[in-house]
Amino acid sequence: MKQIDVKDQAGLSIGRCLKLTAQGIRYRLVRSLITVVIVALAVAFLMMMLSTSYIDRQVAQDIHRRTNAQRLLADWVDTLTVPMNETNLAAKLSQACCGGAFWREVGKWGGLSDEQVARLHEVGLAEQDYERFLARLKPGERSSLIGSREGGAVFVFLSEPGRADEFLKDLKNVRGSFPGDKAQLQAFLKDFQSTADLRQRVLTGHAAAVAAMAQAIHGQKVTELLASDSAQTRDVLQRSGFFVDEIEFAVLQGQARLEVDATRLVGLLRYKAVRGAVARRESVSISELTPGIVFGIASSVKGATWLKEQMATALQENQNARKEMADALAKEGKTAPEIEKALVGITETTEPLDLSPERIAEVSQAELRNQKLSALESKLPAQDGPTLLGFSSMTAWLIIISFLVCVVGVANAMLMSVTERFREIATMKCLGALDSFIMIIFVLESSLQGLAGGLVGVVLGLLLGILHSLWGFGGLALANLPGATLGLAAIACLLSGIVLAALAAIYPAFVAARLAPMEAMRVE
Amino acid sequence: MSETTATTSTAGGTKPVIIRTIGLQKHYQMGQVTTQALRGVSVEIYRGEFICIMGPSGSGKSTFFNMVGGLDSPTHGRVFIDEVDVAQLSAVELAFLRCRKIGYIFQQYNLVQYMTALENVTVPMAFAGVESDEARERGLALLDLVGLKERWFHKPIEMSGGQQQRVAIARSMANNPQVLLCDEPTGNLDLKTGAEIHALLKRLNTERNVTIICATHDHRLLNICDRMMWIRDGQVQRLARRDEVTVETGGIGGDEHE
Ligand SMILES: Nc1ncnc2c1ncn2[C@@H]1O[C@H](COP(=O)(O)OP(=O)(O)OP(=O)(O)O)[C@@H](O)[C@H]1O
Ligand SMILES: [Mg+2]
Repeated sequence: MKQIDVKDQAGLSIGRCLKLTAQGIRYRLVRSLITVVIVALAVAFLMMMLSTSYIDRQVAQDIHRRTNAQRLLADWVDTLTVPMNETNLAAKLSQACCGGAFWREVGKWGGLSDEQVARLHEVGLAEQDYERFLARLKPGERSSLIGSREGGAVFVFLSEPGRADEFLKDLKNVRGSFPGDKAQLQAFLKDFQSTADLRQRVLTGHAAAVAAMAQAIHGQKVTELLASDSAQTRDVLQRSGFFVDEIEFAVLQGQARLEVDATRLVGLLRYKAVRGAVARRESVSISELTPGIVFGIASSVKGATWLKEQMATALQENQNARKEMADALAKEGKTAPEIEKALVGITETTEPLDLSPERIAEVSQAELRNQKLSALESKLPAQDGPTLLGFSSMTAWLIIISFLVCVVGVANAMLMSVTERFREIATMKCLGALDSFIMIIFVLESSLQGLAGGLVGVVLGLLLGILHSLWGFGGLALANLPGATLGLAAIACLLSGIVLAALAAIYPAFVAARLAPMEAMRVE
Repeated sequence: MSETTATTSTAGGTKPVIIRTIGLQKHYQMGQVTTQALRGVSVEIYRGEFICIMGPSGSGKSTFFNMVGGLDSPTHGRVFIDEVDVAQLSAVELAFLRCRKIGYIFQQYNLVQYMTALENVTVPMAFAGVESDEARERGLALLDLVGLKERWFHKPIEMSGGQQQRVAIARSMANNPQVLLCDEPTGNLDLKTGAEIHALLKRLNTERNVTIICATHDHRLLNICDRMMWIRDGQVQRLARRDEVTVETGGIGGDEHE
C-alpha cells in the first residue's frame, strides 16, 4: 500500500505575500484607511514638531549670527565704560582662551604673568561649572545649601572651615548631578582662595583702565570714539589698557559707525520742519513718529534724497529765523556776543547731515533689519531646560502619548479586521497556510498601511511645520530650511510610522495565526 | 464500542483503507458542562469510495470531519490517513497534509471575497509552491472541469451559490488531493443546484478516483454514494453499502425527518 509521504509545508515568498496583502487592502479600503489616518496623524505630529524645532533652531543660529555685531559692540561699550564685578570676571575668564585679546588684557590690568592668567582661567572654568549647577537648583534647595549668597560669595562661604563637608552632606537631599567629587571641590576652594588677590588686582586694573578711557574721551560717547578714525581709536584703546584684535575691530567699527549714523539720522526729527514733512508724508500725527518710520522712508535712495531735501529746507528756515532774531536783537542795540548768547537755546543749532543718500539708505536698511531681528529673537523658544531630542519634556510627552494612542488605535483596527476575517483565515489554514504566513500577511498589511500613513504624515507634518515657522519668522524661516536634517527627520518619521504599525499588528496577527482551521466549518 | 466495531467489520474485504479511525472521542469542555460530541467512532474508509454521513443535527458529523481532516485533535482515539497517525504530525506537516492530501468543501463555500474565481482556485497551489504560470493553467483546467471556465475573472459576489460552490470544488481539487471532505456541500442550495453539485462530486469520484466523504441531510445522495454511515449522539449507528440499503425502502435511519 502506497503511503502518503508527509513533508514540511514550505513557506510563501515575500513577493507572493505582498501581492495577496495588497489585494486584501484594496478590498478592505475603508478599514485600511482608518489605520492609515491614525498613523498619518501620529507621524504628522512628530514630523511637525521635529521640523519646527529644527527650523527654529536654524533660525535662532542665523539670528544670533546676524546680531553678532550688535552684541559685540554692546559688550565692548560695557567693558570700556563699566568696571567689572567678580561674577562678570569669572564668566569672561572661563570663556577667554589662551593668548587671546582678553587674556592679554587680564595680564596687563593685573600685571600678571601668563601662568597666573592661565590659573585664573582654570579656576574660572571650575567656578562656572559650580555656578551652573547651583543655578539649576530650585530656590528652596539653593537657599538651604548656601543661603542667599551669590557669585564669589558662595565660594568664600564654602571655604570657611567645615562648611564644605556640611555642604556635601546636604547635597544628598538635592536633585541634579554635582560636578566632581569632594576632593575636587576642596582643591577648587583652595585655588579659589589663593587666586582671590589675583582677581582683585585684575578688577582694580580694569577699573583703572575704564577711568583712563573716560578721561581720554572727555565726555565723548564710546560708540562715537569707536566709529571715528581707526588708528587714533586703537591708540586711545591701547593707551588705556584694552586690546582688540584686527578682525574684531573691523566689525566693531562698522557697527559703531552704523549706530552713530543711525542716531544722526533719527536726530533729524528734532527739526520741526522735518517732523512736519515726515508726518505729512506718512499721514500720522507728529506724536506718533518713531525712528522706524524715518528708517522706512530713508531705506530707499529716493527716500533718503527726499529726507535730505527736507533737512535743507529746515536748515534754511532755521537760518532765517536766526537771522530775524539776530536782526531784531541788533535793533534793540545788543552787542554781537550778547546776541550769540541769546540765540543759544532759542533756535535749534544746525548740524548738517553730511551723508550721501546711498549711505543713508544703507544705514536705514541695516537698522530696520536689526529691529526686525531683535523682535524675532524675542519670539524664539527658550533653549534651556532638560530636553529630549531637542524637545521640551512636555512636547516629548505629547509625542510619546500620541504614539501610544496610535499603537492602541491601530491594534484595535487590526483586531477588528481579524474578527471580520475569521472565516477567511480559517479557510486559508485549511488550504495549507502556515501560521507564519498568517502572521506575515497581517504584519505586512499593517506595515504597508503604516508606510502610506507615514508618507502622508511626513508631508503633512513638514508642511505644517514649515507653515508654523513661516508664521513666526517669515522669509527667515524659508532661508533657513535645514534640508539635510529635515530629510533625515522625514526618513526617521516614516520608519517610525512603519515600525509603529508593524508593532501594533503583532498581537492581532498572533490571534489570527492561532485561530483553529476548523472555524472554517462553523455555520452561523 | 463493541457495537461499532461489529458494524465496520462487515465492510467488504480486500479494498485498501485510506482513512482509519480507532475509538475516536471528542469532548468539548464548556465551563462545568462537558459535551461528548463523539463517543468512540471506529471506521475504515476505502480508497476511491463515495461515503456519505448522515445524522440529526448535533450528532457529531462536523466534529468527525474535523478529526478526520486534521483540523482538530481528538480527546481519545486515533486517526490514520494512509497509515500515517495524524496525531504524530507537527503543525507544519499538518499544513502540508491539508494542502495536498485533503480537499475541503464547506457549506458556506468560504471563497475569499476579494479574489476572482481563478485566484481562489490557485490559492492552495501557491501554498504548495506551484509557479504562477502553471497554477493559472491548472486553475483554468479545473474551472473548465466544473464548467466555469468562462467566469474565471468573476468575484464570488458576482456568482450564484451553486457557481460559488463549484469554484470551491475546483479549489478543493487544486493539488489533486486523495480525499475530499464535504460538510453539507448543498446545505445552502436549492434542490436542482444541489443535484448538480452531487453529480459533479460523483464525476470526480468516478473519473479521478477521489475518495469523497460527504456529510449531508439530503437523502438523494443515497442514490449516488457507495456506502453510508449514520451517526447518532456521537456514535456510529449504522454503516452499510448502498445495495444493502436500497433493498429496504423508505425510512432508513427512521428517526430523521428533515
Ligand atoms: N467548538 C465546540 N465547542 C463546544 N461544543 C461543540 C463545539 N463544536 C461542536 N460542539 C458540540 O458537539 C456536538 C456535535 O456537534 P457537530 O457540529 O459535530 O454536529 P453536526 O452533526 O455537525 O450537526 P449539524 O448537522 O447541525 O451540522 C454538538 O452538541 C455541539 O454542540
Ligand atoms: Mg455540522
